[in-house]
Amino acid sequence: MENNTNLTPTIKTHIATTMTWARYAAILSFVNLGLTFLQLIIGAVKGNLNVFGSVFSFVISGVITLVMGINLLNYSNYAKSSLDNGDSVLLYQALYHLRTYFIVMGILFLIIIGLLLLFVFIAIMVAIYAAAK
Amino acid sequence: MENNESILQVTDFDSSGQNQLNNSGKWAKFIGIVYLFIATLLLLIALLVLANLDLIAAYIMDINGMSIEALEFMMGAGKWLFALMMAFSCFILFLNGFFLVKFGVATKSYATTYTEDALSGSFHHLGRYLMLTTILSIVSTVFSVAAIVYYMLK
Repeated sequence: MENNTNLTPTIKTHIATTMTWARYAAILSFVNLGLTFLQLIIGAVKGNLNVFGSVFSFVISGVITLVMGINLLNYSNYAKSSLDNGDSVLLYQALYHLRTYFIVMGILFLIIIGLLLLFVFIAIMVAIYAAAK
Repeated sequence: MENNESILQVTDFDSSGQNQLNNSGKWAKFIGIVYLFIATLLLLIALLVLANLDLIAAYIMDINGMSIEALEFMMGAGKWLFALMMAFSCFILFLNGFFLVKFGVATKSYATTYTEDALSGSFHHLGRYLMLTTILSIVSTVFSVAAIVYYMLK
């Protein structure tokens, strides 16, 4: 069953703009991931690489980039289908992927802030311990 | 009359996706505020470093030692290069934060008013944010390619 979106032309234009830029941003994030992998290979071949650390950080950043890129690309694809067909279910799917993109990014920020606060706390504890010694 | 029609048209949108858009806006606002906070922090650090460059140079001299050329560069062109890089970084972070916060505010406004302007504004700011992300990705790609070429020629 198809539900019509009935969006105004102005909003359709703005959604089309976000759709285009989201597609470019997603494709470029995949390209950058590929280039990072190439750098990893070149580093390994040249022998100037901490293999474990580099592979570990690549896997972590790779998974995050892939999840965010796929969600952006899905947003773009569903938004395009929605604008083409006027189907609100497809628009809902697009917005679901946009929400997931921001949630992943937000959780990442929360983890980074948590780690920073932990480091500051440890630094203060070390300073207090050193002063008391 | 025309305004009422446009509101009715737009309200149809919220039955399917308004909740998703509102959630996106909340997270985007949080990320935007973090960006703005980091930009402000970076600006303060840059100002403090620039204001105390003499002390920092003297401290580095005491620990590692420094050639006259390096010291002259640090106090001359290096200082301005650092200021330029920090200003550019702050500007980029500020823009990212600004667009995300505006997107968050507009989605929240749409959730309460259901006006076309609010919904249109939210997608407008989201578009700007995605455009900036794309431009930064292009810059990052260019640097990555340059690094790969450099490593291969080395």
